[in-house]
Amino acid sequence: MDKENLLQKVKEESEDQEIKDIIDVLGDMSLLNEDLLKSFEEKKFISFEPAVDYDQEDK
Amino acid sequence: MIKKISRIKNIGSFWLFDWDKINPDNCRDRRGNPKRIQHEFKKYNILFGENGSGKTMLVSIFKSLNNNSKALNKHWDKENEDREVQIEFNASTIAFKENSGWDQPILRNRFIFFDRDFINDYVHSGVAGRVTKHEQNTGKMIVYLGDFYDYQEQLKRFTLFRDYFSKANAAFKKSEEQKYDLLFSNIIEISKGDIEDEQSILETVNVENREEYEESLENKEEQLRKLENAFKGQKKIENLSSLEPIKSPIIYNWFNLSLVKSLFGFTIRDAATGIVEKIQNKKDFIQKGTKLVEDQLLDNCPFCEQKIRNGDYLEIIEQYQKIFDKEFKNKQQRTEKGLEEYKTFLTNISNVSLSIPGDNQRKFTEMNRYLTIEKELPVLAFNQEEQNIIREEIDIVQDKEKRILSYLESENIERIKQIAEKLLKFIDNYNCVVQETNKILGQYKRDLRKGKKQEEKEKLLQEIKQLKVNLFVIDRQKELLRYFRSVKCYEKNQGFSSNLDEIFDALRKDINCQFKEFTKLYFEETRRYIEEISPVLRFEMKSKAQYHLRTTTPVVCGFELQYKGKDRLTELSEGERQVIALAFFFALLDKEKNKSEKIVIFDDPITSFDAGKRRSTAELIQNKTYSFLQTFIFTCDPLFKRYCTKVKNSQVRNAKNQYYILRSGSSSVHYVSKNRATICASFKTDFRNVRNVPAGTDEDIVVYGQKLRFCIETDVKEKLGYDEDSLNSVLNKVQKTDFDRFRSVIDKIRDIYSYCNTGGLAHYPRDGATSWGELTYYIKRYLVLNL
Repeated sequence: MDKENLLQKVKEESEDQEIKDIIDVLGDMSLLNEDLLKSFEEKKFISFEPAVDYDQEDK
Repeated sequence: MIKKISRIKNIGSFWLFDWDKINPDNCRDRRGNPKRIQHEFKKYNILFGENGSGKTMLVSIFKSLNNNSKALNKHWDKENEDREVQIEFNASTIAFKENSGWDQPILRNRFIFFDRDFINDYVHSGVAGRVTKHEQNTGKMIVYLGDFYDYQEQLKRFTLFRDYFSKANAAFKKSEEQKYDLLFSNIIEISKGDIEDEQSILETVNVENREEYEESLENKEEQLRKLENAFKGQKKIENLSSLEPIKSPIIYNWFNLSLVKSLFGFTIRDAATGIVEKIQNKKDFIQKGTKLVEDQLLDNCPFCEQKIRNGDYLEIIEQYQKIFDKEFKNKQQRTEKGLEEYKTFLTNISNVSLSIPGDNQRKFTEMNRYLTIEKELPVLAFNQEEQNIIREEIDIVQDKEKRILSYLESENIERIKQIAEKLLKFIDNYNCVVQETNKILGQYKRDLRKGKKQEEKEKLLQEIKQLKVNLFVIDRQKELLRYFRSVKCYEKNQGFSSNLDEIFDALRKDINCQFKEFTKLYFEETRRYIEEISPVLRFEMKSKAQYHLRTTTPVVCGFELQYKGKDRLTELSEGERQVIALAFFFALLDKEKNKSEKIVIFDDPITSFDAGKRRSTAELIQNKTYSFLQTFIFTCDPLFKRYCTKVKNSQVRNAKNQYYILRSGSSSVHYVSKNRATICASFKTDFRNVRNVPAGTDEDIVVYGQKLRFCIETDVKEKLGYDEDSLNSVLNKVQKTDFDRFRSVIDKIRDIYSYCNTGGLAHYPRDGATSWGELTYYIKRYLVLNL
């Protein structure tokens, strides 16, 4: 059965650009969880490292 | 389209197969004229082979292409040798190498397979694991036509990532909170609640304020200490008396430099000068007159011209002297008074320290134990040099008093003025502090009585706390900022998690829709195809669909098979299973998208069918695959080609089937034209020229062995008119007939054929099993037979 890629379908149906962007990163879900997480971090969707460069950014 | 399987090496039973070497390009047409044919797979391809001839291995190669995987078994005897495959697809050559696998994935997901795996996946006989699970869950037997496994996998994969992310985010939060808690672990006064947010940190965090905070904290803590002392010694405070101001002995207003100077400048001349000024215009006259009087040369007064009698002139002089004395005396008296006052002024300055109330400093010190008085009680700074100057000035004044008519001069007057101003300023300042201190003391006593000091203490405590918090924030700014920013990260991540939830819900919704569509379409289609393939199947097919998206229960989607109200699933024959599976496969093909890009593979699709079903199904297969790019049918049914060529659909019939035959045990693929004899003739020509093959390598042995085997089988089958599955069956039949010519050579044929199978040529020359010399010996024997 030639099954439709439902994630792509969800992307096409969604009006939320962020949802579309997330699905782009998810791709076909073939990446390992760790790699997916890394991809989302690299693309700034999520972060596990708070910026504390106080002197340069906030002062 | 796939044009050729150009080369297979060390895959399953294929030790070595070379398309171009085994399928000759040069042959002859019916009239015997040379003809060059480029043999390639066409739209329809039927590959016939007996069991064990390598059909399933070719299917495996296609599956490997479809999955872009390296899952291809090696030949059992060649485990240590590399594998190699070459496929010609359109204008490209796709190659499989031992280390790198397929060099290009252009045929990935381009195949659709109907084979034993498909049947096992979708039609269970009641012993498969998933059926048993469903049996347990539903209490009923069911035949699966679809399990939505891919979608379930996609959903499961998505769920796994979502859970993985949620756990990672929760762990991140926990880790950051633990670090944050550690910051407060050794601090009693400050708790987490005292730190408001990132903004408050950034406002406080200016390091330049640290010194100011520290100083302020020190002051506040001192104030608090005093307050606490005050609460303890309230009675002492009540008894504290006010400070006394300095009653200034110094009257400064009259201090006039010119005046002081004039005091020192008073002399007899100074007094006479005044009189002279009065008679300034009559100076000569007065001088002459006075001279005359003094010299007693005149009888008359030179001023009033009265007769001067003896002794009168003295009276005149006295009178004048009296005039002088009066003025002089007045001035002298004023000078003496001025000097006296100036001396008093100097003495007061000199003794000003004596006028400072002696008890003030003690009282002030006592007050400071309780009160916060920002100003200190001023201390008189009267140095020795200044005291010397004053003393010296007093001496000068006293000297003048003694010699009032002598001219004296003081150099210290300017300094005296400065000292006086300094002292007055000190007194003013002192009295000001006294006044303020007394005011503070009074207010303090009143506040203490009214309980206001308790409020002040509370306020102080709060201020001290805030200052400590500020210092803590400055010292721990990075750690604190990290925490608050980690909270923001966490919240942002939670937003991401919500988006994942949204995607997940949409995904489930779509799967649900797909499922409903699937159940609606496929149940009807499958039922229709079952009836078309096998109208005699007698069981009832109740469709059943359950899909619990929110549970882990597997999808239930299929038919319950019943006959007279009883489950019949376990009683299904292989043929019935195959009918159901094929019906479902046709239904899937109907719904397939991008048909023109897909290649359909059938591996023994009709093996278990009776003759009637075989014919109808073969035709159905061709009709249903017409819209697809290419079709490969692997079969062990020798009549399949015949069924196909008689298909009623003219479109299909005109598609020009190609019929390839896999010779049993030869592990090669031979193109079979309408006139097989032309290939045999071509091979026989090769046999006659075998002496010209110089090397006689293993590869030559395999290729010529495959040719020899093909010729024997073709000769026997075609020329004898038997179309049996096995050559042995043919030979047995020949033995029983009257064909004397063949009977006489039957043992020789068997001997050569046996050599092809057991001598090592079937797949590859086993080490030491045969040789090029032995093969050429058998080739010569075959040619001698002249079949």
